[in-house]
Amino acid sequence: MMIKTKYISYFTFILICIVAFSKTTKAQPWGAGASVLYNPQTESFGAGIRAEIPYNKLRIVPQLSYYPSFNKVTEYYLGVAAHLDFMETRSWKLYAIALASYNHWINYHSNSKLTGRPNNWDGELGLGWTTQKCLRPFIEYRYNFKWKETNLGIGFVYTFNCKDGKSRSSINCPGH
Amino acid sequence: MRVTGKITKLLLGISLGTLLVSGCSKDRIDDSNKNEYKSTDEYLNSKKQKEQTFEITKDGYLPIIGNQGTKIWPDRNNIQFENGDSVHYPYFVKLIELYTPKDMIYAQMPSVGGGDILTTKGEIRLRAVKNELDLKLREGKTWQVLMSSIDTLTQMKQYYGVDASSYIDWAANPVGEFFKTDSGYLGQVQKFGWIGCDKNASTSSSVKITFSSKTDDLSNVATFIYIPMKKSVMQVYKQVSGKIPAGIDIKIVSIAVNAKDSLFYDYKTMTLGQNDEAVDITLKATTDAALTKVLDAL
Repeated sequence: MMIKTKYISYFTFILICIVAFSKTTKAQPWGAGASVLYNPQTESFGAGIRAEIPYNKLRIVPQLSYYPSFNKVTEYYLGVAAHLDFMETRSWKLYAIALASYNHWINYHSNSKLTGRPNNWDGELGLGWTTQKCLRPFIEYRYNFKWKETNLGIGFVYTFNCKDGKSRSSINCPGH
Repeated sequence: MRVTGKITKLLLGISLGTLLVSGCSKDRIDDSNKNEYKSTDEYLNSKKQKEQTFEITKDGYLPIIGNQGTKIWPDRNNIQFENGDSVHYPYFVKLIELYTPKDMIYAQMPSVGGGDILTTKGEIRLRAVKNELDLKLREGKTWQVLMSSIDTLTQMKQYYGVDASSYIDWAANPVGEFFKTDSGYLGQVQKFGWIGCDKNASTSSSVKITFSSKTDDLSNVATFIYIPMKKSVMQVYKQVSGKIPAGIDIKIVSIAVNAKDSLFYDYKTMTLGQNDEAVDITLKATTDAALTKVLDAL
């Protein structure tokens, strides 16, 4: 019951963040996407989903990542990232990533050298590359300070109310 | 190209710098350098209560009495072969008695039913056998059993052991009770097999314990939790306990045997809080006598 209450609290927190940001970014187009993830240190493959909410020069990215049970480490992350573009051309851009997330290590086990709890708070920093299209592939590298592990991701984000070259609502895509 | 600010560069620098300094770690999947153990089954089986056999003849005297005081009143008219045939003398009654936490631990017979802890006044395994075939009680018929625990607890129920493949789960018999008497708990059992004199001891607020170790591979370590206030034994599977009432005192015993048949153990007492707990286990070498003493004192 305690755990369930915790999950509800985390989920509520994320929802509040999304709603709060959405109210400040009504004029800017949202995006949603999915990704495939690989953690070389735990030798685990995962999948992720995300939303992208532009906020000034940032993009706020609530996201959920899941590493299924066929991996050595089964876990999920529920968090919010900030993406900040720092280098761009007409066709692509590089962005910095700062991510805070709740991590539940589902098959937490005693064999690991690490001890602690299966429920954790994580911080990650990293880099990403994406294009300037409405349907944007991306590649990301993130470093997890809690576990000292890297997460590599490849995926796509689709920006709503957006056309390549011009947006449907006469609002430019995030990169335009 | 354009660069949006010093903060971004700083962020990038911190990220890459930290990575270079701290590097990456495979600790979460690294099992090396931990003490390894083999299964404890052989050791625990060598210590558990042996099955007693009683020959029931036409001229036998009732009741039969087990080593630890269990009394059974066999009735030939109330049993049958699996195919419905009647049973003739002689036949055999087989009995295992588990009345102490130590014996329940040795037999790996915790008092947990459907995930709920049970207050137990004893567990027995009762069988009737003829020509090496297990007999069964006739529909609606019973045998009288007296569990030899003397206590003030009332409203004790009959629980039957249900084979859950890797362990015995306990299911309450909705109409079966054990009535407190001066010499123990008396009940009319309706089927053979594992029988517990128990009652549900779960509470609305419960916690779980996750076990880990910096020094020992716990894969083959047998860990048990005894809850004195509830008179309940729990076995830990896959390093996570079942539900235990919050705020209660518990005793934790971990038992391991290495490849050289040396015995190891860890013993802890603790008071649970209101939230899930993490417990670190460090096994130490011990002897059979020393471990027996620990289990006797639970």
